[in-house]
Amino acid sequence: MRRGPGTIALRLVTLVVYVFMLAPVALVIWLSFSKSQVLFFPPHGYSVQWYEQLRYQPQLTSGLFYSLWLAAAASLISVAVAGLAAIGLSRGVIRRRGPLEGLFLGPLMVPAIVTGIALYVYLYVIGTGLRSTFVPTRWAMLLAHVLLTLPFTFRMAYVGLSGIDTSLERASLNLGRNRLHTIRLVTLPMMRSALIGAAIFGFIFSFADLEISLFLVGPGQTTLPVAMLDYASNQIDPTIAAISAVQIAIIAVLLLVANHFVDFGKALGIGRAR
Amino acid sequence: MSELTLEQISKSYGSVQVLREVSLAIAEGEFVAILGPSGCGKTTTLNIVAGFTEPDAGRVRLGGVDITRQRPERRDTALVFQNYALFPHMTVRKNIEYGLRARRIGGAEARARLERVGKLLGITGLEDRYPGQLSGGQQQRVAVARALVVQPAVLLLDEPLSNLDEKLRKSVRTELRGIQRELRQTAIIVTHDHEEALSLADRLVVMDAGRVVQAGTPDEVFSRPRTRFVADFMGITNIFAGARSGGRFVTEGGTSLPLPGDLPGAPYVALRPSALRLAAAPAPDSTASAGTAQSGAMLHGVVADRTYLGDTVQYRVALTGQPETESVTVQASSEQAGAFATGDRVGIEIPAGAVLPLQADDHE
Repeated sequence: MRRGPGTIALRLVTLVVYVFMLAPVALVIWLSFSKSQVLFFPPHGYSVQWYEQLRYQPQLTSGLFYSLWLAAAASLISVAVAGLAAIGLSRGVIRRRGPLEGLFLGPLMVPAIVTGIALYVYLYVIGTGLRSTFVPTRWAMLLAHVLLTLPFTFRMAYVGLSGIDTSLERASLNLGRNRLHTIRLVTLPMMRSALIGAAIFGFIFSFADLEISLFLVGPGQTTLPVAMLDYASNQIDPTIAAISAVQIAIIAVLLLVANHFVDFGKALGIGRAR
Repeated sequence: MSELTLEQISKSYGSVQVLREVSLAIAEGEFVAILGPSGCGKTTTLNIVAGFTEPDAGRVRLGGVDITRQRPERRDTALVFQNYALFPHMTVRKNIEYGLRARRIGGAEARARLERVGKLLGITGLEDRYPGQLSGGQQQRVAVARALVVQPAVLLLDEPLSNLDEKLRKSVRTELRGIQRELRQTAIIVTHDHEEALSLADRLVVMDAGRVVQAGTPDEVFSRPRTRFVADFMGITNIFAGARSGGRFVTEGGTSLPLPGDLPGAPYVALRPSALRLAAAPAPDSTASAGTAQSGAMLHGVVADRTYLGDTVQYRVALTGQPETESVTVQASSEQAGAFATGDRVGIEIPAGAVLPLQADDHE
């Protein structure tokens, strides 16, 4: 390979961009192993005491478990809805698909904080009207997170489906299986990777969400990002760095797993499905 | 009974009419090739038989029963797709069993059928592999096996050989023909390759622009093409427009061709390149016919170029005193090859059988 000044410049820019993106993450992880009581850089010594300390921070640990449950439930529901919607839209008899495709990607256009407020107000009003309480409940939170993840899961399912040769489904019909059996025996198994990828991605988006959850949290039902915000608004110490590192680790592992199933460049790539 | 008939089938997509009143009857055990260029409606015809496309008008009957509106999964047809459409997440065995399971055929009967098609197509031993682990030729065999194992009333083949290389294509062609004969399997193949159609089918149906232009045995279609289009599609290159004048056919360029007395008048005439013969021209000064180059059953000209094709050599002969467009292609066997070179003066002998009068195309 030739190494002209252009190549060197390109590498330099790439390096700078990566440093810019990764430096804060690296710094947080680094500081989480600090020995001192305050966030100070560089640390004077190293320890794992802040990870041990996490046990005594119930708002953070319960937030972590709540967020894990929420992300798992929301992404599974979201993938089920997205998978069916994608099959219906791409293989069904609907003629004008454009507006419906747009509808599924729509939530992306509304700022998350607005979605959060809107959902809160909406569910509050309906709940009051029905003499019941919808917010804050875990079901309202679950609904919000399904909504939050749907644009991503739908898009990944839709792209996955568009990569499947329709002649496979026609072959199944031709061999005597009806449409429902064909979906179960051919379409869904072929979508497996895309759906697993979508579920993992949905999980990550739900797990990392702050803005929508902010309005829907209730006592004992606080997501991890909201709990971290609360914690950090009172004090800044390496505890927050430690819980951040835990969060980063969970997401990193999931991304590695997801990468095995899906080509992210293709799934999230520029341009539309089809 | 598995006689298949298409009656007056029409189909349009928007303003484009892809099929215009196509009628076909396919007898039990017959192998029919639908031949035509892309866009002629042959694949649409196949999809209508399989049930993937619903015609705007007309009927499809199988064994006398109207199946025009029947859903594809209820029809007794089996299609071999152009790209094979094997299920990539299933083994070869699961792929072949797919249609049997749908028909609730299991146990000893299923095992016997699997073994039979496996032997027939020479794919025994591949049962536990996935389609991705097979060569193109093997995939093709599995696709045929998957269709044959359900013992369909009609086997449909959508350009099944087009993804194979030349050599493999010829051997699979022979094999396919043998299998079809042995099983007396009613079958329709759709293809754009006239050689494939000629070698496989009992009967040829040539389509152009949504119509059936000619139907008949391979020999009938090849030796007596009805229209200009059919002749062109069969690889007959020397086609001249013109009119009958006395006992001869005079082309638009003015070339006079001998026309056997019993041939009907026609707006076109083709000269079959392989039926023409080249002869050394007499010395130009020894004949007064140099100016009237087109007397008798002989044309005169100069070899404009020469293409060596192995068994045969193709000459393009520019006719004396005629414009470039009136050149004639002659296909001669290689034995004669050394005889002529570019620039040689030659005579073209036209035996009666080489002259094919052609009708205008239906949409002209």
